[in-house]
Amino acid sequence: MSVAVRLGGWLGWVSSSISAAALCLAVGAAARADTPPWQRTETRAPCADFDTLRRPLFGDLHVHTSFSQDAYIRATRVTPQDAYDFARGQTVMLPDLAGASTRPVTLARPLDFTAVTDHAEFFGEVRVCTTPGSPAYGEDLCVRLRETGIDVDRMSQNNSLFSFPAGLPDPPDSHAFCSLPGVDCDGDAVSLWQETQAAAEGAYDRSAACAFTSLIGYEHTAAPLGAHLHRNVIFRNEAVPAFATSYLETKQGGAPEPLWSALESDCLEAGTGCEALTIPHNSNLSGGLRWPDPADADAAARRQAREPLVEIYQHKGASECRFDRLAGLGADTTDELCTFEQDPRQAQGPVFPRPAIEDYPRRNLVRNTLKDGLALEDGLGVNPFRLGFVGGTDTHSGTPGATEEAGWEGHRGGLDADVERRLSTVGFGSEQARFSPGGLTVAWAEENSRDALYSALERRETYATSGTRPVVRFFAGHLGGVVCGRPDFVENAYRRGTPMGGEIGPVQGGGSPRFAVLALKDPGSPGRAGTDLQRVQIVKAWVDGAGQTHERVFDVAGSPDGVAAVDTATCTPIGLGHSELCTVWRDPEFDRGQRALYYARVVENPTCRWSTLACKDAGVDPFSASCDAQAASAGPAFAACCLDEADDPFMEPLIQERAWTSPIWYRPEGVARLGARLGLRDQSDQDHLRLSLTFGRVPGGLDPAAEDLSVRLADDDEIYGVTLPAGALEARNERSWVFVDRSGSQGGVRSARFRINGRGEGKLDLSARRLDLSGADRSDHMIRVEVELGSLQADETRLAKLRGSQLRLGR
Amino acid sequence: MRHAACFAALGAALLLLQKILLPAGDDRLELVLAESDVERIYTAWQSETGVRPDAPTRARLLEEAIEDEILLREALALGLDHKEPIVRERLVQLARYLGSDAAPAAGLEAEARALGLDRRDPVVRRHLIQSMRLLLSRPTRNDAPSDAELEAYRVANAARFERPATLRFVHVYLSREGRPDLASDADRLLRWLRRERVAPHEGPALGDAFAAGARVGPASAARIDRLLGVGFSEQLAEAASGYWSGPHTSAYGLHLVWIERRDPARLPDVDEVRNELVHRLLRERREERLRRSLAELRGRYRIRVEIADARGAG
Repeated sequence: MSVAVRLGGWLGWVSSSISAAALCLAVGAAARADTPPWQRTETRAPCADFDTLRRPLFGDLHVHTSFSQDAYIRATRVTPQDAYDFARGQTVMLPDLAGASTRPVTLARPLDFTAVTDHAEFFGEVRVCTTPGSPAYGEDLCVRLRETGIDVDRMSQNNSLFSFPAGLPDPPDSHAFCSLPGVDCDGDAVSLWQETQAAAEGAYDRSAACAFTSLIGYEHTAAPLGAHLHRNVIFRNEAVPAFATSYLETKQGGAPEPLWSALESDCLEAGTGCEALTIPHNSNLSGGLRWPDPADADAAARRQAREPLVEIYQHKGASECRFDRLAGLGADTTDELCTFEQDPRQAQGPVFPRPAIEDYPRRNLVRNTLKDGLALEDGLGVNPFRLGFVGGTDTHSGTPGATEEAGWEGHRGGLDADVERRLSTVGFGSEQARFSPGGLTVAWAEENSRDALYSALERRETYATSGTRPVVRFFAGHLGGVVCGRPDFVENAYRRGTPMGGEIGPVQGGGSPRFAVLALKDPGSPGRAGTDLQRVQIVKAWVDGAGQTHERVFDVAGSPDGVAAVDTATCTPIGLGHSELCTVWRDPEFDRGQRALYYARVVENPTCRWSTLACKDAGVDPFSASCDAQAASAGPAFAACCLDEADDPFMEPLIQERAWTSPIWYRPEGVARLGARLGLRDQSDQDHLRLSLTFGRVPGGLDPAAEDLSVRLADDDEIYGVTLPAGALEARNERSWVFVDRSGSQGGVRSARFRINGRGEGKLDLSARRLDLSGADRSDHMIRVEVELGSLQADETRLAKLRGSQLRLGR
Repeated sequence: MRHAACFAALGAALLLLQKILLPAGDDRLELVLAESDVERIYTAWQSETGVRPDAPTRARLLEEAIEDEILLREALALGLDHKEPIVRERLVQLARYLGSDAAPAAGLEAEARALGLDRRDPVVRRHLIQSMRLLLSRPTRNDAPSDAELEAYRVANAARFERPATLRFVHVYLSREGRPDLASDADRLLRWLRRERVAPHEGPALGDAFAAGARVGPASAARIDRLLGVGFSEQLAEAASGYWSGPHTSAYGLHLVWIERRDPARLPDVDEVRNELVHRLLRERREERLRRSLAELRGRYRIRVEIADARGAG
């Protein structure tokens, strides 16, 4: 199915002109049995390599180009089109110290998808300043903007002039030159936004080859007092708002609610087919302001709906958790792997002091925020912080996916154009040696298309990596038949469990659900072998009966004390780890009544950090006893080479690259059991449906007779939907409600029954006959089941198997 | 003039100067970059970059200045200064600033024009130049390339659009982990697959679970290597289709492979890559139209650049 999308400008013309041809391709291939559990909203060919059980697609959702003012002033001249070309394997030129674009860089392994996310703030200003002939071209501010990386201090000053409204609690609307006669910053912003869309369209492979997907996006850059409240906006398809709403338009209401309001009115509710989600990043630099408690349940639900993901790792550090090695203390953790890639600051602005670990804002960290979400759900009934994980580079050089440690060329244009700058301290006190090449987003998607990727993001079936490319599956639930070594591991997991990003309820019997992890090491790139895996961990967070939150990290596969090491002379690995790790694990401390979440962390064997490799190339060996002397003779910039575990809380010459899967949430009231049978007959209107669904806990005060009961089944089409109005279910007794209608006048429902059993579980049985279920594809494929009865809600997607004329879901 | 004006052959300006020597009766418009204009351009560059422009830079700067001047004149000839509200507001503002007491805006605007501010004010100039440039490069519905044009572009840029050869295959995976006799396990299984003529879709059930799936492709060699490790696709280069081959070594273990289909490298149809074709062609056309229009405009002018200082021009 496709929707008509109208756009302004020449992009709109391009889109409509390709529709006819793409539609023909789509219709031509309509006989395929490849049915996804999401709607197709685009006119494009289906992908030839569609896979119902999903494939890992590697991408970068955080990329700046010359369209971003802070990239432009650092001499980055790579355009969005160039950045998409780079992601697809072509070479781009980065600026040298003089600001001339002379450094060629190429991705060893192209990406599957990329979103260019330039700062929406000052879109207009950058253009008027960089277009010769623009009225403001000669203005002092513009002249300074165009200056390229000769003087680092000067560039930092420029940065504070031109970058986001940091350092000012109430930033000016825009720079003064926007109010000059003849300078129409808004008008120019629209045009730059259109060029951004056009570049994405030009790079998107709409053919059946599905070689590359571009996603349209931008960054909304809120930074009150320098606290990092930035977030990326990612759109589902080409239907996007006419304006990229920036912090300059929304600052009055703070962040992020006014942005969400703008997205709701200009996108989600605009009736144009527009869909968008937001992804915050660098909570590690947010001064504790990233995730305040929501005002009420509605605010919590809105947050959960608008913002399903967080960028847990990028160029400016990890946001998962934090442990200070020298102090022997963590920010609400004892997890010693949390020294990984930390920025010592708590915010970017000068207002915030660099804190001791005891004073570091605990909600700067994703894990703590997730824990607090569990506690908040106990009070609000909704978890405001249901965040899955993605990673990104945040490159300001227009180089998506440039995450390899070896030979890293920097992410800040002219500001880190050579190794000395990459190791030195510049603007806002940022110690560049502590920055890294950043991470990647991996999405489990049926195909490499915008609809498939966006759906994966929406359901959080994603994981972040610190830049390497391990492949990680993570499921939870009953998981009957899910056994390591068995070839139907993944199929059974999709039939009887929930993938990363989803939620589970209690399993029958009240014991621990099962958690399955299947991980492959990074297979390596030309000239560079992938690093073996060391171990798989499951990080559990939970809230106890007293409202206290807790966490625990379990080693579930591999070995924490692996024999692997690194030859410090050559940085080559010594000893083996694992090419693959698999486990099906039960939580030994599981408590059926406690809200919890679980995510997998897959840890590689140690390798040399980029700075270690760069320092060694310059003749400064971080492992040598005479490192300080070597650094002194190499130059002042190389002092950072000698920071190590003995004298620094975080820096480590050897790192362990890793992947973080989106969590799976355990909710005591969640779905304990789901079964459905769709009887598909050859005659029309003779299909039938039986659905059985058990909720783990029925909240006190729920009166099923006073609530609507709605049931919906869908794949890429609507299969079935019915809403029995409040009152339809009649109380038989205090624990049983029944609806019987032999005529089947409401959605063919002959009977519906809701019972609360002795364990407090609520079981719904529904039977409907004489239906038209022809929307259901007659093949093994994913079907989504949504059920709502008051505060009881289920949203489950399972692999349905075709047995004769029956499609069976669940057990 | 104090300095002897000389007509210097200066980079691209050379061509322009030749035009000046055209025979009399030339009805073109005259465009003179005076010595003071040239010096102002060099000084502006120096104040921006901190260095005196070198010879190629000087040539480029003069080129740009000539282009700007032409664009401005053309904008004025088209009456853009009367059509653009921004320009009119600016002129009113300037007249007010200069202390005019003409009350109605129209009067102020006229006064500013009488003072030549519509040509001299830098903000008005810049705006008109930019507007003219956008006007010259603005895509129109006539830019819509025909299928024949897209086809020609596709063929002319075949290297950019070519799709690599692809493979589609099913593989039976035997993990290195927990298999002490990996090679003999693989040999035994391969013999069995062949002897029993196991169908490709039934094969993977005889091996281990591969996290990224048992069916691969259609995928290029590069994509296959990204999935299974460098060199894997090369092992499949000679393997026959419709037959169990192997064992092939990946980053993870051994694989027995049934190739379902091979497709050679090919240039896709216009419809398959229409959006990228249109995007790139349109971009080229906009740039080309701008270049062509500028050249055409230049042809209407007799251009003279007065270079004051031979060393400066050197």
